[in-house]
Parts: sequence; C-alpha cells; structure tokens
Amino acid sequence: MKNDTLLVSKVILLGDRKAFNRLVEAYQSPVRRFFFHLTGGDEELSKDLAQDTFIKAWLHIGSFRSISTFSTWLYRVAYNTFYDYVRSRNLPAEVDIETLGNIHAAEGKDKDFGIDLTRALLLLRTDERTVVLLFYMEDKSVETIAGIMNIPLGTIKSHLSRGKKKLTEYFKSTEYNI
Amino acid sequence: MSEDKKLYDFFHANKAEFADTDFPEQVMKRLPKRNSLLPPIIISICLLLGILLTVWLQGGSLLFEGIQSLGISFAHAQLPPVSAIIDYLIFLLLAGSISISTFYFYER
Repeated sequence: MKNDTLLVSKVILLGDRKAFNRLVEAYQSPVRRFFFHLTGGDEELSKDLAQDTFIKAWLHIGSFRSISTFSTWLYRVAYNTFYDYVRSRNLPAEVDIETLGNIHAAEGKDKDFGIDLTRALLLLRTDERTVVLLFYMEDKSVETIAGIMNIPLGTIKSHLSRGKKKLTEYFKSTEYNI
Repeated sequence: MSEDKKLYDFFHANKAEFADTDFPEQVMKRLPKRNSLLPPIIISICLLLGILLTVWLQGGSLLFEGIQSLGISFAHAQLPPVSAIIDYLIFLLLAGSISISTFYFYER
C-alpha cells in the first residue's frame, strides 16, 4: 500500500509512465477477474473493459486522494466503466435458473455436473453480482464496497443478502455440495 | 460450517489469476500523453533563482568580461587566461544543463 502511494505520486507529479506500468502489472489480474465474472465469462470484453479502466485511471489519477487505498479507487473506476458499458448496451439485468440451465445444456454441461461460478453469477442482478464478487472474491468490506459503488451501506447489505440467497438456493437446487 | 464460510471458500477456490503476458504493454501503448506541471515549474524556479543570483553577485558582468577576454586572446592568437576558459566552460555547462533538462522533461 505504501508502495502504491509512492508510485501514484510519481505518476501525478512527474507523469512517470514506468511507475504507472508497475501499477498496471500489480492490479491487472484482479481487475480483469472482476470484469470476467461481471460479464459472464467474456474474456475479450473483460480485457477491453480492463484496458479502458486503466486508461481512465491514468487520465484521472489526479483525483485520487489518500483517504481510500489505490485499490479501492481503482475498483471505483472499474465499476463506473462497467456501469457505463451496461447502460450503453441496455443489457438484461439477470437470467433465471431455467435460462441458466438452458445455457449449461447448450454448452453440453449437465446442470448437476460442477458449478460454473461465472455462469451462476448471471442469476444475480448486476448490482448484486458486483457486491458478491467484491465481498467474497476480492475480500472487500461492505463499507469499502459502499464507497466503490457510491451506494448506501444498507443497500449494499441488501444486495449481498439477496445475492447470497440466490446463489445458495441455486447450489442446493443443483445438489452441488459447496 | 456456515453458508457464508462455504460461499467464501467456494469463491476463493474458483479465484482465477490472469497472467499479465502482454496486457500491461497494450495498456501502455494506448496511454495518451500526460502533462505534468512539476518539471516545468522546477526548471522555471531554478532558472529564475540562477538569474537573480548571477545578477546579485554581478556574475553576469564577470562572465561577459571572461568571455570577452577569451575572444580577444583568440583574436591575437594568444593562449587565453585560465579564468576566461573556466568562465566559458561554466557558461557551456549552464546552457547544456538547461537544454538537456528541458529536452528530457518535454520528451517524456
């Protein structure tokens, strides 16, 4: 974290591209993973969104304040990038279990065989999926997630609770023992 | 084991890491040029301080006399005094430093 602050300072004050490159190397995996699961496993799209995120981070890094960590700030940029994408494409909010079963069948997967996490996340609404991913996958606290998504803490807890319920019900329906 | 813990363990068991391969390179290629204010500010301040110091210590007239002396010596095919050579080298060093700094910061 101290290292991040030093690198960010170099980028802001000196326009140091090498310092920014190190930030990209450090955070490219979690950011790409975040988008990979948000987009239902679309690797190319997640790569494009991740690139857009880092470019926006480069352009607006002057707005980073040390109140939060750089990681939190970067996830906020990533979330806004994804939100802009969803709005511009008018994507469906979530799929139901039957549709998910059809997706699995189309891919030649038995619905009882293994759980594709990425596909299972499609059961959730976009906001629920974001909260669940940030909480369970990226180990962010609910307070941090509220800051990332700029949503009240109570709403975050509701999303988390609903998302957890939907996933648990789905896992039970497929008899997958998690 | 609570459901929360089960979910947490399941998510972490499926936590994929993405190898960076050429991703950072692709990002860096797309980065637009970024203007940073600090280098021009530092150069301007140093330049101003240098000029003020030179004027205050009457260095300008000393430098000019030294270079003039150098020129006269060469005109008379004489070996110039050491002080004149030093003045000339200092002038070259100064001009070179400013040029290199300006070039470096604006080319980044």
